[in-house]
Amino acid sequence: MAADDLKAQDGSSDGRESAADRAGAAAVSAIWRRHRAEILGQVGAVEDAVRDGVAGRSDNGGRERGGRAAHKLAGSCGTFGFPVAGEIAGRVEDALCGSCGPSADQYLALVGLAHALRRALESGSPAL
Amino acid sequence: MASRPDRARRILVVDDDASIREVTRMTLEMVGGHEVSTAGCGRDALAQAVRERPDAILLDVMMPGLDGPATFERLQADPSTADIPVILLTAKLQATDQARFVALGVRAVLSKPFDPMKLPGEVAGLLGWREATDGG
Repeated sequence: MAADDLKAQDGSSDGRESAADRAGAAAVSAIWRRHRAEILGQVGAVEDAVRDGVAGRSDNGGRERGGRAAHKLAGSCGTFGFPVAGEIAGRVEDALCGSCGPSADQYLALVGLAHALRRALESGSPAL
Repeated sequence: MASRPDRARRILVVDDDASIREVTRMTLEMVGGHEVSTAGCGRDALAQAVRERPDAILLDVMMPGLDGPATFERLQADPSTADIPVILLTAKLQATDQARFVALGVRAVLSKPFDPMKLPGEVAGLLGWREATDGG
């Protein structure tokens, strides 16, 4: 969809608005597909931080990397039509970025959240 | 009725997340009709702001190295960029953060995630850019 085509459809009638919405959603989906691997890499950083925490070998650097990745995911997943993944990422960020770091029990809970985060992104389609 | 800015503006988008840079650029260009340049870090943003003199800057808060607020403070300290309006973009925006950022002097704070198709209108509204309705 060329930019001029999309602009021409921007907001003149309900039908044309729907066409513009569809074109926009298609453009956002294409961007998602181009960046899917790197976004899943951010999920990997979260999983690494959680895995290290469960194993009792967490350090501030790894936890910070995981928390930073979760923060990015909290912002990007919803933008690309994965609101559930974004909400999960926000919860992971809260846990990893607390001043004291997660407790052992919290790390165990984060295992489930990290799994749910990956599943939401790998198995779902963007809800645009 | 949907509307569009009365003229294309030049907007600098700064985010270390390439996917967010690309989707923001796409919607500001395709839906908003603006000219968009991008930077992946605060240092590049400072150089581009001096060189390009954009009409506005969308600036991510959490970036490695020079983060959004620190980048904004340097933009403010340079007379050649001090008057460029800046909108901060951040995930998980807290009310206390919003007050702190506005106190710094940013024009507004937008939270991520955002609806890509609505972003151009939100930016135009926050910056007080006059909107012209289609055909008007």
